[in-house]
Amino acid sequence: MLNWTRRDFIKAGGASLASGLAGAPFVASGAARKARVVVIGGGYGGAIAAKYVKRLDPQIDVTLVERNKHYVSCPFSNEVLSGERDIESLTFDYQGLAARDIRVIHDEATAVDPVRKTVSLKNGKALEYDRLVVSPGIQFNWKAIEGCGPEMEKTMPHAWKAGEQTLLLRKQLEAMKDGGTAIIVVPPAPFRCPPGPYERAAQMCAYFKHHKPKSRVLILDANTAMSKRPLFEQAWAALYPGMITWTPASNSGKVLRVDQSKRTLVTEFDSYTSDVINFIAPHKAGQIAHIAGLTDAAGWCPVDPFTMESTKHKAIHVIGDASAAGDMPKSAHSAGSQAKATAAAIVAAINGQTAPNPYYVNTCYSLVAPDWGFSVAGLYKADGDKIAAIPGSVVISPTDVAPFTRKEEAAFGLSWLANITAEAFS
Amino acid sequence: MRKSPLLSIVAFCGVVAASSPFAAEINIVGLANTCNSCHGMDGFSAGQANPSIGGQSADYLNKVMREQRSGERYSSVMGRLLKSYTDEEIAALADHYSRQEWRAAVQERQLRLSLRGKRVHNMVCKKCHGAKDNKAKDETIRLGGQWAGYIQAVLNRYVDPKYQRPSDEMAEAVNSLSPEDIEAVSHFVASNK
Ligand SMILES: Cc1cc2nc3c(=O)[nH]c(=O)nc-3n(C[C@H](O)[C@H](O)[C@H](O)COP(=O)(O)OP(=O)(O)OC[C@H]3O[C@@H](n4cnc5c(N)ncnc54)[C@H](O)[C@@H]3O)c2cc1C
Ligand code: HEC
Ligand code: HEC
Repeated sequence: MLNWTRRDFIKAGGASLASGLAGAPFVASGAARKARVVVIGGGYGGAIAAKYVKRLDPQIDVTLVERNKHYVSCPFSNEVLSGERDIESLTFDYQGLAARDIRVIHDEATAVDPVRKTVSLKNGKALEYDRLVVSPGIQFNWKAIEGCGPEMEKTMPHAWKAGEQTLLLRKQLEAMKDGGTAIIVVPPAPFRCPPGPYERAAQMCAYFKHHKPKSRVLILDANTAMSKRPLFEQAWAALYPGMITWTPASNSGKVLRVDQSKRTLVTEFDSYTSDVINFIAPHKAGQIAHIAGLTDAAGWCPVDPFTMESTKHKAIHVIGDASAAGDMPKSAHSAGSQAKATAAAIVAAINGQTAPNPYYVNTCYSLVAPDWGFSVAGLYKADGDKIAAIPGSVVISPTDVAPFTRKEEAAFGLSWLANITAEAFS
Repeated sequence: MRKSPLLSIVAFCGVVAASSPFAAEINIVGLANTCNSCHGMDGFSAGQANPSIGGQSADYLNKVMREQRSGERYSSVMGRLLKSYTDEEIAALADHYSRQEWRAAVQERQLRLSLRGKRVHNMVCKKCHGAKDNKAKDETIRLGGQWAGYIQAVLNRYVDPKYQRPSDEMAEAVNSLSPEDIEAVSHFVASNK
């Protein structure tokens, strides 16, 4: 522990941990083999993990496996729906990471053998690892609601993975007649970005207000609580009065069945239809986490709160949305924070040291208009067998503020995006 | 580079901070890494509105963070984040960031804005902040080269009487600035490296 804290890696410009420590497993007497870290998934979690492993110890051989050539950021993708920004402004590639001596393989990981410590790729090859990071994000649990299936993506886009889906939803909004009601279906918690659906409702209205002033948004929510509720309700009333209706589960808002051919959504007492249905299905950990045997009965990956190492398989760390990270919400900021703790734990383990204290932080900005933003911030720590919120630390922006505060937080939100995407992809 | 012996001990040996809800022992690399998603790598912000913090003086950073934590200094998010940090953690962070290299904001110079900003700077800011203000100093912000978006945010706060302003004199000197002057002087200061 003391060894670790005594080294100021950053000051040394990312110089290596002196790799000659006695007992360090990968530098034994001459015949040194570089330690290998493989990362599955190049989203916020995986990209930041790969970057920090390399930064903390450049001697480690780091490989990132990501199926897509480009990553489209979900954060701020609701602004694509309002027309405030284009999808290109949220699209990143992996050249920045490649330039840092991280091997980037664009392929799909199809299997993991935790005993042999290998990852199989779709192209038939296999990668060996000493430590594996799994950050595949989420997949949809279509079976959770009667009548649902992946084919719905084409007709009732979720736009909960940014890119084509976001553009399809935008197109449907454009095609909608003025006076229509767009429906957002919110899945039961836990889902990625708890404030996301309510921010989305506002961003849809930002578009309606200027182009289809008689149109409305209806939120059918499988939950009874709303993230940042006082802030959203205040903003909706001020900016989009009468345009947004929130129907929580307690008010028959939970969708129980879908009839795809008739485009109807059935709740306990009601049934709804619309030309625009943004159907966000219930979530579970990304497919590869299930294939690798990392998930629990709820469909998420339990981890050691100090190191994010899977409690199912040794030497595999699961981070980001796929992990069951206790009190931490599923967000890009959380994923990055977990990635940094994981990178430190992995570098320590590879160098035969104890993992340093993890520090977990979350923040999430919501923009309901270009000049109206607010945030939630919270600190978390490893506490026994879970990651727990530090009491009193999870706080939202105050509601009683001068207008410039909202404008300022919108600007800080944009800066957050600039910084976290630079942290991940450059 | 400033080096206070006390801070060095804090930062490099790990102290037992019994009251920290975060962790028993300070791991400064891990702690400082949590700032990167908002303040950039090594404290050089990639966004216009969040301040760069790498290369400010340790005394200034320490003072600002303590005041943000107590609420003495208005902040939108820092006060909420720092609430659970101990004095030792804040001191270690201040020390850490003061050792990073200061990197000036990169912005495209807009001539008209810059000329107007220079005028405002000469008339209003210079007498207190100096002509360049591009060195780290005890307990004062290094202004030259800070991001325009952040300076603008600070001045917007200063012209609104609803917020506590850390310097009464500065409040008096800047409170009649127009939004256009604020935009212009912020632009000028950012390029004044
Ligand atoms: C509309 C919306 C708005 C949001 N806004 C915010 C916000 O403002 N702030 C915030 O902090 N968070 C926000 N989020 C949440 C954020 O997007 C996620 O929490 C974050 O992306 C999680 O990162 P991750 O690494 O776990 O997963 P992802 O970012 O989903 O990345 C997973 C990656 O893994 C790849 N992958 C998966 N399986 C394989 C495989 N088998 N082989 C190869 N590659 C694979 C995928 O292609 C993908 O690139 C928002 C989400 C949404 C939907
Ligand atoms: C969620 C984003 C976020 C995180 C995380 C964050 N900051 Fe900040 N920081 C800000 C913003 C925004 C400001 C401007 C003040 C405000 O409104 O809160 C700021 C201001 C500051 C300032 C004042 C700068 C000046 O010149 O006046 C310091 C110092 C600072 N932060 C240090 C830190 C440190 C150290 C950390 C990590 C422990 C950190 N911050 C983490 C967003 C963040
Ligand atoms: C009368 C003296 C005075 C004048 C005039 C003045 N300042 Fe300041 N300024 C100060 C002092 C003192 C501080 C330190 C106060 C603090 O933040 O603790 C300060 C702090 C600041 C800060 C940092 C505040 C923070 O919270 O990060 C900025 C930015 C700044 N000044 C910009 C300006 C600009 C731009 C002008 C001209 C438009 C200006 N100041 C004019 C005295 C002055």
